[in-house]
Amino acid sequence: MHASAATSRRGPEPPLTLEELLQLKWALGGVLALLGVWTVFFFDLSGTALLPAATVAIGLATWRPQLAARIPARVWRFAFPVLVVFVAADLVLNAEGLAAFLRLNLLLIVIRAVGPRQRREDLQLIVLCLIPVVVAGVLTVSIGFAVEILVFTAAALAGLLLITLAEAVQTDGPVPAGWMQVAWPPLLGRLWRVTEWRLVGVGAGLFLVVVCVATLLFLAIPRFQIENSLGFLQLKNRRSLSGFSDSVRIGDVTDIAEDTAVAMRAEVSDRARAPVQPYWRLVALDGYRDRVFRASGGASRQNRILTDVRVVQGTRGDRAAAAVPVWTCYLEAGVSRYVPLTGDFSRLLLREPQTLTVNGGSRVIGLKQEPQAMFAYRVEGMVFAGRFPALGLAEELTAAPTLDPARDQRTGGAVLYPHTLLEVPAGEANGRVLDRLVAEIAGGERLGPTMFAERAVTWLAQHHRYSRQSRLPAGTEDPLVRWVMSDTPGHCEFFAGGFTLLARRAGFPVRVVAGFHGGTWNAFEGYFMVRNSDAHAWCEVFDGRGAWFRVDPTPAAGGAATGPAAGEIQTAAIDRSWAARFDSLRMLWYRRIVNFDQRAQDEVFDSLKTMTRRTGRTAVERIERLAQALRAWFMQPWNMGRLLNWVGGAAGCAGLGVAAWRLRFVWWARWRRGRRDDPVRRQAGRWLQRLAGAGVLEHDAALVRDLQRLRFGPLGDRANLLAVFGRARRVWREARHG
Amino acid sequence: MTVGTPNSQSVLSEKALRQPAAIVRGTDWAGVADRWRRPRGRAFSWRWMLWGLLLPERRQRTLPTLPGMVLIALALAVGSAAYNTGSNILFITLSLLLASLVLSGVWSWLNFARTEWRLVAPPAFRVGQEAVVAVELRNRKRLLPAYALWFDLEVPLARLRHRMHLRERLGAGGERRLEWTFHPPRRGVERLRIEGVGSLFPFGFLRKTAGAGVEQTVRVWPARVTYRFAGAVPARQQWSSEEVPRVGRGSDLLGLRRYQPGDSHRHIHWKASARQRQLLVRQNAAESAQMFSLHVNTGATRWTRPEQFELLCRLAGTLAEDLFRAGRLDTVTVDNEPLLEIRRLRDVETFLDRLAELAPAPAGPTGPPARPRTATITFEPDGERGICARLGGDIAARA
Repeated sequence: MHASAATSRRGPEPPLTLEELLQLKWALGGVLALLGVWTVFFFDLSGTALLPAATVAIGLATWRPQLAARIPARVWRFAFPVLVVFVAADLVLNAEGLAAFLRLNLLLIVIRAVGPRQRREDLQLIVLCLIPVVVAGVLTVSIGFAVEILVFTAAALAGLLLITLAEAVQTDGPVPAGWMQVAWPPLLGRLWRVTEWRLVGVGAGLFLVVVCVATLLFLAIPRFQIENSLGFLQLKNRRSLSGFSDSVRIGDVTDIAEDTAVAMRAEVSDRARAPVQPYWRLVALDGYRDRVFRASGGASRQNRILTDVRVVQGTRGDRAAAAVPVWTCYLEAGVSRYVPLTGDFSRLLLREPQTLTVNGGSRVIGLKQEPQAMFAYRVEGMVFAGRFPALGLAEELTAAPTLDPARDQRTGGAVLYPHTLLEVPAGEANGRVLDRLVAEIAGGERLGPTMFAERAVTWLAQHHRYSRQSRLPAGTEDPLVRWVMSDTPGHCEFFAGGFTLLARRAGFPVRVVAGFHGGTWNAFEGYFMVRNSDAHAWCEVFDGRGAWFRVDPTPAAGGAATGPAAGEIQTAAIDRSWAARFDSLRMLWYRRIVNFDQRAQDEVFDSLKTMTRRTGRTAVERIERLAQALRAWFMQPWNMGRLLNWVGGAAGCAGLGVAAWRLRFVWWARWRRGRRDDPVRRQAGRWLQRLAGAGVLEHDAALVRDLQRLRFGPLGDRANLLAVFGRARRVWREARHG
Repeated sequence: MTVGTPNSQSVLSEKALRQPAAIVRGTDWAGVADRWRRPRGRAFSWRWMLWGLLLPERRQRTLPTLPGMVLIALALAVGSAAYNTGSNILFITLSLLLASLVLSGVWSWLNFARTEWRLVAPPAFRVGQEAVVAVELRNRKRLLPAYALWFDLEVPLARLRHRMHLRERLGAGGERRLEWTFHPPRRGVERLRIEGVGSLFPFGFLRKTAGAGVEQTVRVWPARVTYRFAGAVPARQQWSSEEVPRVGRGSDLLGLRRYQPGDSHRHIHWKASARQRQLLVRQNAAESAQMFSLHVNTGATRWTRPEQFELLCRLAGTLAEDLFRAGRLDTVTVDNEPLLEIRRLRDVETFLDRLAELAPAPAGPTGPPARPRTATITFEPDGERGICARLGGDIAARA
């Protein structure tokens, strides 16, 4: 006799107790609270000292619920009045409604996460955590919102499920006090053992269904263009890149260029017409004083304020719009309040009405304030040639007061526009240096603006090398003058500024333009990526006849005296790196989700309709072809031989099919003998159930015995298998119909 | 004091007599009708399927709870803001809120799908004694468990409502039994009913209730009563000296009869069964002893006080049980109804069922009275509150 080893089998793991459910619910509440609290981090609020304290409090309370239970009840009683005082003080001191609201929300989350929670408090916590997530999404329009809202939804639904299950176990009984004594590792071990992974898969599948249904709803919800802006959702919290503002200090643009983050994304309807190195103009600055180029008051007075507009007509005219590609640009938050444009255009379209500042002279368009989130706009008929008309400037220059401010009492010592375009640093020393250099460049000749520009650029390239690091030589002259007369390396601002001073001294009106130059083509989603590292400064020179032309004196940019001619098309550098891949996700987010409007919705439905029609048409054509082939086959002459062949073949196939179907159990039983999923047993069980449902089991005991034999009997006992099933089918049909 | 001496070999003990029979009946399995599976035994028809799609099941409701209303309000607020601003972020949030609501409805439906229940209760209760009502559940789904169901039980005669909760999950293919005990306060016909089956599963947004439509009728027997019996009846008081052979527990073979479910296997006559090719049981003659018949007169003129009538029912039932246990109960009758011969426990139960529904007859008994063969015990009021049992004019017992 063999001694059989006693094997102990563990029974099934008992389900989670009420205490364990309450502990899991508590943990999930803590996770939600942390998610809501950390979302506030995106806002960069002035009171972010709350954030570490809140994180510590929530983390500690979640880890050790018994600590939270030691807080006296009177603390919670007085929490609300204290909060009211705090909010009032915050509003009075900071005068920022949204920031105060978010801080209040943060405190409420902490209170709810740390304090005792019943069902009502759990629901409040979920809603409180949802608020910052949604507000952050609306303000930042970041792709991170997509991840965050999905994580929040999953956690919130799991939390609600735990609440319902715990209430089902608890019913009307008291909450067991011992649940606060949590030992997390054993609890997690219990959770691991109790978990049925099939059910986890089902749960994941259901969540996927939620996402799919949400996607369909998002696509299908009709869009109406009401578009009242959420005026109160403005946060003055983000530090803007000040390089692109009304005044640019030498070095500001280079500081921006240190950052490699993407500043702007631009997609074009016709990629073949995308230029290699476009110049994106943000600001055009005419005045200069003490290392700072700025937009003078006179130039600014030419600004036109357009209120609540969505469409801005350009100077190019609509007739040319149909012939040129359409650019859709997405400007990241914090870059500038000025809209990057390359020059003239036909139409500028915005997503929602905005208040704009338009300066026709400098070809600059600005928003009322810097956008807090990604800003999208569309431009039709944008010109890349680098030349645009300057109507009336020549007349203004001749009709305006003289350049010498010291003699003109009316100006009060200030240089007025348009003579700011000729402004150079005051002082004889500066003038002497500039005169000498101009003479050296001109070589004694009387040059036109284009020729002078070319020679000046060449001269600068010969005397200065490009470098982001630059050190100004000592001296008493203006810093730019000192740099020009030295051979110190310099960055684009030095080159642009130096060229400006030289050209102005030579009598040519010049302005400095700051913006972006270049960019790379993202091969994944097909758009231009313009990074902060592409920040650049160049010049525009007035040709004296009524047009500005671009001059880029920086040697690293190619040093071309003029910009590319109109219509010059080349392919841009293609970026296929991982960074480009990840950036394409963000572009996808902006393009397909954030910018999904009524037009895009119509396009989706149209494409769906087109696809359906095309599929239907293809199917109909195939059926027609098949019908024609059949008709042709049938119309062929028939004879006995052909008839016998086809009829015999069809009968043979039919017979084979019927035999295969009827004998399927036999073959399956032989092939899969002994397996758990024996189809014969399954079929016999089905027949037993059907006959029981029809109430005929008592009437045919022999049939029932046979079915039970097939269902429960030995595998070898499969006699009359088909006959038994056939009889069962007959009896069942008779019972149904009789 | 009780009638006779307890028979130690009696199959049915006193406790068994005091409790309803161990065999309980349950109702058929009920569940939320699956739209895609027709009810058992019902022939398929397109009309049934189409109407099922249009009309909800009776008493089937899905109503939002307070969190559900908050969710709906939140969705409305977010939707208004989304339309007002055209912000796709808000549209995304709105879509997720609505999708969560849809998931809640779908999962709630899945929770109910192929979950069946039935009411299980003994065929009779007794007033004042513990009555156990059970709801048996089974989950016929192959994969998904069922959670957080409750059953609203209504006991109209006792004027009670009770909610039974499924606290633990009911795994796929699993079965569970939920029990509830109560003490019926009054006799009569109790119609136990599962008013509804509900659940807040999964997220508590929606309260889904299905009209269970499960009902079971249970008779509530009158409670036993303590009485003072005057002892064995003198021989001169016997109505009939004739010894009537009757079925009992004696050793003399009285006859053979066909086997009926419930008969003891020890009484099967194997030889006769083999000869006749069917199961036959012995019927033994009872020991010779005086037998009694009970006659209950429900005339309203006699029983003017309801509490005395209740006492009548209790005493009649108690006497019937005690006499049957002693093997001395021959027949019972109510008013002028036909005599009910008492041979087995089921006959006593039938009499107790009759007592459960008994009410004073306004018009008095009609028709010729039945004439029992044995001494008859009758009942009449004894004073304002009491009741007495008479045997041949003499008082045999008082309660």
